[in-house]
Amino acid sequence: MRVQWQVTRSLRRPSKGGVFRHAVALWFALVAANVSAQFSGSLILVSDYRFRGVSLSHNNPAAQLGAVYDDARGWYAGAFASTVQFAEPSSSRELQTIAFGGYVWRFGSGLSSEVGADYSAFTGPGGYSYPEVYWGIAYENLSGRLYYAPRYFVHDSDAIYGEVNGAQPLLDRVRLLAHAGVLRNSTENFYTGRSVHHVFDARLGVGVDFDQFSVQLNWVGSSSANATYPAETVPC
Amino acid sequence: MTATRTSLLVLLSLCAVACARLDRVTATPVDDGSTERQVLVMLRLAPPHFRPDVAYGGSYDARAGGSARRRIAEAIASQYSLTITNDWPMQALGVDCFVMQVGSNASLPRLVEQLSLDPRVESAQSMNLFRVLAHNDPLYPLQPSAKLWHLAELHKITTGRYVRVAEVDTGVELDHPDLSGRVALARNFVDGRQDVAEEHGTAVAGIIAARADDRLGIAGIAPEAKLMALRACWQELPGRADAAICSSFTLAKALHFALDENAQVINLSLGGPRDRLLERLLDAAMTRGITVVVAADPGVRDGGFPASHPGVLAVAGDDAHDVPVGVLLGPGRDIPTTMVGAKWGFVAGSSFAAAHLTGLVALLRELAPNLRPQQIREALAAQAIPALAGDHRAIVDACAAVARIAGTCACACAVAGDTKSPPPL
Repeated sequence: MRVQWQVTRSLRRPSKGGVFRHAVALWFALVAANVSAQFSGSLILVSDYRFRGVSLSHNNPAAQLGAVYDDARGWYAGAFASTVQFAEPSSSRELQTIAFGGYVWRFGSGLSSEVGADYSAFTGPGGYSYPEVYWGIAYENLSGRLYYAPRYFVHDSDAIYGEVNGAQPLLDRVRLLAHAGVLRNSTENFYTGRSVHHVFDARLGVGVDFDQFSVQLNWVGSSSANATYPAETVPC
Repeated sequence: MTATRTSLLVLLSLCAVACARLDRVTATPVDDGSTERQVLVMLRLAPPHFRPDVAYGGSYDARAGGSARRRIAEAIASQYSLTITNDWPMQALGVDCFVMQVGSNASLPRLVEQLSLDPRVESAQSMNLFRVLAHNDPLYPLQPSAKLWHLAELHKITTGRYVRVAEVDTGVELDHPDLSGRVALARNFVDGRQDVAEEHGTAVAGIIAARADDRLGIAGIAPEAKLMALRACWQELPGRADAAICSSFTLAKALHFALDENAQVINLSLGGPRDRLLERLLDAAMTRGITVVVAADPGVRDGGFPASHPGVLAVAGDDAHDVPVGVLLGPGRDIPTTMVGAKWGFVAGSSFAAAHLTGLVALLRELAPNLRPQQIREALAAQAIPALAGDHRAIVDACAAVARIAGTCACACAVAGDTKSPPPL
């Protein structure tokens, strides 16, 4: 069980310089035709980057950046980057980037459903990049999603991850956050290599929202205690 | 090291909570008399979807993208010389509602038209004002409702237990002896004005859910319903139940909150001009199976808004002379109910007839929680008794409606025709 804190700051302006300049320029060229589209971003600091219950930062803090484009018709696309630290082959800091996109339907009853795909890429020698598709459903403060990855972290077996998330307002700006997830590998446990196919993870936390940023304190647990990325059985 | 880290985390959390509370206290007042020169500008709220940056931190989050919407709103405000005073994301409608103050020289209808044509704007409208539909008339000293509806007998079958009723009104006196413990939840959606107990909200609350069998005051129609007191209106004159107003924005916030809290019945004892934003929220409520009970304005030909909106349960007092077809009649005069200052008094008006029907719907929903609004309407309308031969006015027969839903005899099957006689016109 780990305690994780997270500070998220919403970005009010797009990045205008550095290596992202051309990418941002291209991005705005693409979206400029649709003035009702929305572009938003976030800057996040976490004490421990827990990805599906297991640390992707070797239990160390991580910095993250996210950006999302929302079309008025329901299309969306975005990118996310985070510093990561693998247990093997070295403990040097690497970078994870996720590109994602999808379409979301909103129904009159308040229900919404989405389909999408993402590609997670990592720098460094491991070559753990993998694609994934997902389907999700949301209603008010509850959401659920199913992910399918044919080669999860370049593991030989495919993996399905299912999650349920909830957020219950406690005060005007204070929310109780909960998450439960299960990772199923078709051949063996991704983390331990044993014949146990399921790995469960859960999170319980409190989030406090301010106008431009939010602070969260989460307790995170996993049924594969002391597991690391990459798993020991992942071929190099 | 671990202890130090944990201590820092706890300290950080406490600071965050304290700051959040401070932030709330210093919120900018908006309902300060300038409401009539405001417009509501709705921007699209992107549907919830996968975001790696918030997915693990807070699931789907309406705040995600808030900065983008704010940026668009600021650009719109700058272009049209407006000032943003407030905003409220409404996930149920897929919009973020921004309140903008209009300069004194601008033409409001023309501005709304321009904003509506702006491709960045999902919709726009002027801020409307609504008034509660009541008159406080002490000339009616008699108590009618318990006899008319055989309330004690109905309570042997149903008391509205666990049915969530949202009362959107002025403030309710939460510690009134006849309401003590009856309000499950109270929220104030009127910024910039002190959250106080007020006459109209307290009177409506008493009719719906006052404690029963406590040797005190009155018995509410649904004394075991879970009442949510949502303050969206404010009283302009002390002691005057009829002098209360609400705005499009405060009502929209309260209605959206009622949706979020899974209300089963919503009571709106108020009326005003047609309002697009409120129409959409009412439609969203009814799509979710919520019964919306509203008071019909006897001074307006079609009952006014929201009584004229399709699907709502419009109610007028049984002394109303000229009501539109489809409007039901409930007890609307000589109504004893709770008053501010731990008192009781008599009230009259369609506001309180609506409160009666709200309580009755709660009774029906305890018996059949999955009833659709249309089924409830049919149960009430089918059993209503014509006021006079050839008269389209229909007085609700509570005993018959409960019997129809319960499938058993209510009120000992002794629904006396004379108790349903309408008042002479």
